Amino acid sequence: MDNILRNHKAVLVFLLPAMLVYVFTVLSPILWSIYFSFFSWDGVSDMVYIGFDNYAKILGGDKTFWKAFSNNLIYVFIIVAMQVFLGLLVAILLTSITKGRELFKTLYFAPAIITSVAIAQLFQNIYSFEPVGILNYCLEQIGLGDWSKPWLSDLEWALTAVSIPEGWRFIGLYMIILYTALLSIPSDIEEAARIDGASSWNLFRSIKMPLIKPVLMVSIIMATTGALKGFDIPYLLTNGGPGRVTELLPTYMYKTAFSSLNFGYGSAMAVFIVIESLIAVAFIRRMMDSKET
Amino acid sequence: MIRYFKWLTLALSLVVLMALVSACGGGTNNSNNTAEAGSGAPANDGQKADKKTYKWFVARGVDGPQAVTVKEIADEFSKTHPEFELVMEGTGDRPSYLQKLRTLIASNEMPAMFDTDSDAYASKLVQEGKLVDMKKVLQDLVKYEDFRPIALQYQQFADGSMYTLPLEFGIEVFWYNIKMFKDLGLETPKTFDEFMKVSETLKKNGITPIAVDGKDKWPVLRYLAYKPFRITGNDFIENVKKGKASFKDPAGMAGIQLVHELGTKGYFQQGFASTDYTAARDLFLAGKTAIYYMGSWETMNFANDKISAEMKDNIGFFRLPMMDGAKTAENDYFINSGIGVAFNQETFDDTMKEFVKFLLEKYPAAYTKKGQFSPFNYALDQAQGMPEIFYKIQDEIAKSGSVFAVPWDTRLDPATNELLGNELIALGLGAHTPDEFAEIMDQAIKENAPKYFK
Repeated sequence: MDNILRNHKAVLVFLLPAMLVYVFTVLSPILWSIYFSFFSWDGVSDMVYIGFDNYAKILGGDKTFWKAFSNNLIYVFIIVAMQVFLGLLVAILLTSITKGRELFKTLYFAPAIITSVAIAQLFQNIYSFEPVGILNYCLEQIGLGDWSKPWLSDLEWALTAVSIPEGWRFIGLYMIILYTALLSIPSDIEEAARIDGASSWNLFRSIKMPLIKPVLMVSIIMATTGALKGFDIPYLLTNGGPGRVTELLPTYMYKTAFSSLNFGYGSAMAVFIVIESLIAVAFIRRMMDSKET
Repeated sequence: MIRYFKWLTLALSLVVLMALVSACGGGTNNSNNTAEAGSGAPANDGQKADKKTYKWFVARGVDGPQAVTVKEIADEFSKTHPEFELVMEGTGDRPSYLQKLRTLIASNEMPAMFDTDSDAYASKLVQEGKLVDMKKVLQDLVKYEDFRPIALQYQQFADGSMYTLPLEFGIEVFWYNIKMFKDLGLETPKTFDEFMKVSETLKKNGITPIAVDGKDKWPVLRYLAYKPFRITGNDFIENVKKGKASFKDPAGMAGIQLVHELGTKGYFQQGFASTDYTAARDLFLAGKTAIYYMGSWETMNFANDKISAEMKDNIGFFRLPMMDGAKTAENDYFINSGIGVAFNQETFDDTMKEFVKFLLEKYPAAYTKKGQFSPFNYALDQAQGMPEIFYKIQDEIAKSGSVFAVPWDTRLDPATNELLGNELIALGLGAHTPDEFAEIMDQAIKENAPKYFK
């Protein structure tokens, strides 16, 4: 075995199949999108080469695009906050209990395996105004009837309302990841700190945090890129509406390509999303690294 | 290290090259395959009867009355023509349906039959010579005269050519809750002024006046079109879609103001933007709203045996209101023969022709007996024992006028349509003033229309 691993050519040969799959499923669609983004094409007539016009349109003030972009940033913020920070909180609470740990783990993880369509239906009912949904009903019961509103049709609240289901859904996933990271901290370090008189907060801040930092970083990257390409739940719940208040870049891209039949412009947006995701990942890494020094 | 790096670059570039070559190759292969499959490729060369499979891409659920009727007739046809087989694939939700269909067509896999409105996209397909001339087919089969004239007119493009076959027929009316109107001493409104007054009275008495499906957008789009239709007939939409008229024209502004008022005054149910089709209908049927605008295809759902005890004999309907200076008559309103069926030119062989002929003979009776109104001149008499409301609508259809309003979403180009749907809901919620909305729409048309209308 060692011999094989030492032979780099052999390693490359074994990596090739995965590389091939990657090229076909990831790289080639990206390359095709780049290619299409230089054309104006409606899917029926001939493709017309228009150079960088599609990109010029993005940069030159397609208001809906930038509205979708800023919506997307808010969406990412809410989701990362929920998934990683609530996930971390739940993970910490889990490490501090002994009874019923498995039960809680399973319960919190459950939403992650429910399909998007079911979750969308579920939240449609929760947010519903007429007939009265759970949320509005609860608000009324605790005397906050004035706050009840059609959440998904409300111009101010709709974006938050569509972000929460996606955030809630994967809290369990990040909880498991971070919980495992917390468990892997050697207990002798913890004991030593306690003997030295560290409080729980100090223990967490100075010992646990630095030790789970790599995992935390991966979690933040996963949550961010996941939210940047967020599509299914916003699409199913409000389809970008009312107006454009819940339009995200992926939903706008999809509609531009497949409803407005502007495949070229849609492809240009797809390329933008790829670049945006890469920049986001680089940015997060930079931030986490700089904290270390 | 450098050696391995070279190795890696070489391997990578090879892989990319391979991917490109095979992708291109795949493209050409694909089109060959579809051409074969399209022309009804023989499944087995050895067999005597070559089985030909035709796919119908249906814009409704496959359990809808149109699809079920066609399927029954197709099965009957297969008995005498064993080579023929009709396969159906249905997508109930319209935006998804159109996306799927257009993606199939863009990748050269147009189904043998598919549902489409005679919209700007369909006209592009016609320009590319991809669709069968349905007018000619019906004339050749001497069936053209059997249809209700409006059913055929509705399927036509603005130039009078026709490439889709209608399978349904319906008028659109305002359904209302008779008891609610009676209790408040309200008459059914004859004009839009009365319509607004009725809504106001209902609202004051704690009743939500109108239930509307805002999620699918087209029902709200109808409200935008009412006044322009009364003022100009279909001239406004036919001109504005090409940028020859402006939304700021009096007709356009009248329509925009109506939606703005209905929305911001709370005459539509609260949260209408996210109410879907069945939810809106259920609001009306549960007695929570007084008025619900919808086509006669819902008639059977309003029949006594389908609804709750309180709603029995409690559902009436009134026509599209009138207004001062209206150009269209009282019995002119939205009438349509629904989304039609287009046939792929490539797969329209003799077997398919035979099938269409067979279908046209069997369809009217089979379809009407399901409690539906057919695009053919065909009516059921009282002896057939249909629900009362069915006969009432059947009478109303007989009285309907000869000018009918066209749905705007079948006229505008796809990109403007997409935008209009979103912005219209925002208008109803008060996010735009009427002037802002008119400006947005004019801009969109200026940008998008030239690609579709020359």
